[in-house]
Amino acid sequence: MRPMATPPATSIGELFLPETASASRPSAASAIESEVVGLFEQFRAPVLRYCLSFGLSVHDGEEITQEVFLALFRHLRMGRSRRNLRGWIFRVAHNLALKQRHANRRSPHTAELDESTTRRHSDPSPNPEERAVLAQRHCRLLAVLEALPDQDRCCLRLRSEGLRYREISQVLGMSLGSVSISLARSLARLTFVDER
Amino acid sequence: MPIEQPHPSDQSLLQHADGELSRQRAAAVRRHLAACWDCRARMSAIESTIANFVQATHRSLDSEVPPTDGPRALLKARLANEAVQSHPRSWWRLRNAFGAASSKRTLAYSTALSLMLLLVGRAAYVRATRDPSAMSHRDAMLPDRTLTPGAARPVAVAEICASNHDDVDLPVSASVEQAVFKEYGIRGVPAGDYEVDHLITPGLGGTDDIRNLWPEPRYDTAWNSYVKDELEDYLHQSVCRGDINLEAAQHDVSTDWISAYKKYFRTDVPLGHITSTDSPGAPSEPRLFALDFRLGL
Repeated sequence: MRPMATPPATSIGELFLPETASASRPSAASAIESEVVGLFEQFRAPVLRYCLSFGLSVHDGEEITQEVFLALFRHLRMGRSRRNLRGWIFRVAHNLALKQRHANRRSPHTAELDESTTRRHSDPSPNPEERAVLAQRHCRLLAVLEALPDQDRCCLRLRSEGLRYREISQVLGMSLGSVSISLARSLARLTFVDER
Repeated sequence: MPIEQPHPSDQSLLQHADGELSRQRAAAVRRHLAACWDCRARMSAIESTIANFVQATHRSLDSEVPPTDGPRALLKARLANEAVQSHPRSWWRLRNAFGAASSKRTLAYSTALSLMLLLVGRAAYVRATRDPSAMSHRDAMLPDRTLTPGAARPVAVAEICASNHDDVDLPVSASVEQAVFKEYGIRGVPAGDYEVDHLITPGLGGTDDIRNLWPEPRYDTAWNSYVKDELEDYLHQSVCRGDINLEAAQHDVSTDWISAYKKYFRTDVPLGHITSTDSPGAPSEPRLFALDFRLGL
C-alpha cells in the first residue's frame, strides 16, 4: 500500500471531544460509509486470512472482519486519527481474533481445528507428480508456520499481508528490533525445511 | 574505507530485502552483495523461501476465503443501521470512553501526554548532565551545535551531481562511531538505536570530520534518520537541478534540518516514508501501542 499522507496531528481538544460538527452531518457520514466499504474491499481478504491463521473458523473470521470495519466506521465518524489505518485495522482484528480464540478454547466444542492441511491445498498444477511434490513442500512450510510461537507467527503473517515493520510493531506491541529479529528467526526455520 | 566488509547477517539481508534499512546501511549491503557470491546465494535462498511461503499460505487460505459479495452487502446493511443511530449522546460517549478500541487510544494518548510533559520538564531540568535518555524529543533529533556544527569540503556542483548520492554516503568506521558516541556521552545503548550520520551529507559535500557527525536516533521518533534521508535526497536533486544553490542547502541542513524539512516539504510533520509517517509528534508511539494493546479491546 502506498504511504499515507499524514494529516496534522490531532489536537488535545479533539482527543477529548469524540464528535465533531462535520463528522455528524449526514453527507459526511455517507462519505465515511463508502470509504469504509472501499477499505473493506481492499482489506477483507488479508484480515480474514489473518484471522484464519489463529485457527479460527471461516465463520468466526468473517464475523470478526465485520466487527473490525464497523469499529472503523465509528472510529472515523468520531473524527479520530486517520494515521496508519491499515495498522489500526489489523490491530483491532488481532485483538478480536485473540479474544475469539480464547472463547473457543473455553467452550467444549473445538471448532474446526483439526482440518487437515492436505485437504486445503488442492491445486491445479501441471501433473500429479509435481503436484504431490509441491503439496508436500507447502505442507512442510505450513507445518513450520503452525509450530511457530504465537508472536513469531503473527509477525510473519502480518508481514506476508504487506505490513511494514513499524506497523507490525504497533499491531503486536513489540519493538521494531524484536519484529526484525522475529522475522529473521522464522525465515531461518522456513528456509531450513524448504531446502531439504 | 575498509575493503573487506563483514558478511551481513541473515537479519540484515532480510531487512534489506524488505526495504527496512537506512540508506547508508542499505548502500553498504548492496555493495557487499555485488562483491560476494556467497551472500547473494543466501539472499536468493531467503527470497525463494519467501516465494514458496507466500504460495503455500495463499493456496491454503485463499480457497477458504468466500466471495466478497455477501459479506460486503452485510457490512453495508450494518453500516446503514449504524448511521441512522443519530448523534452520539452522553451515554454513547461514556460507553465509547470505556468500550471501543479507539477510545482506549485516547486514554493511552492522554496518559502518554502527561508522561511526555513530565519527561520534557525533567529533560529541561537535567540537561546539564548530558544524559541522552533525558534529552527532549526535538533536541535529541538535532545535533549539539558546539559538537557538530557541520563540515563541508570545497566542491563543485558538477562533481556532486556526477556521482550517485547513495554511493558517496558511506557508513563511518567503527572507531569514528565510538568517538562520536563518546563525545555525546552515549553509553550502554544498542548500536542499532543510533545511526552516526553526517549532518551535511557527503552528497552535498559534507565530510567525515567528527564535527560533521552526530548520533541520530533511527527509530522511536517522528524526526528520525529516515526522514532526514528524504530531505537529503530532495536537496541533492534540487541542487543538481539548479533550484537551490549548494551553499544554501548546506546551510539549511546544518542549521536545523527539521525546520529545513518543514520549509522544503511545506509540512509540519514528516511525510512519505511509511516507517516514519505514523508517529508525528509522538516520540514513543510503539510504547503507546503496547499500553493500548495490554488494555485489550
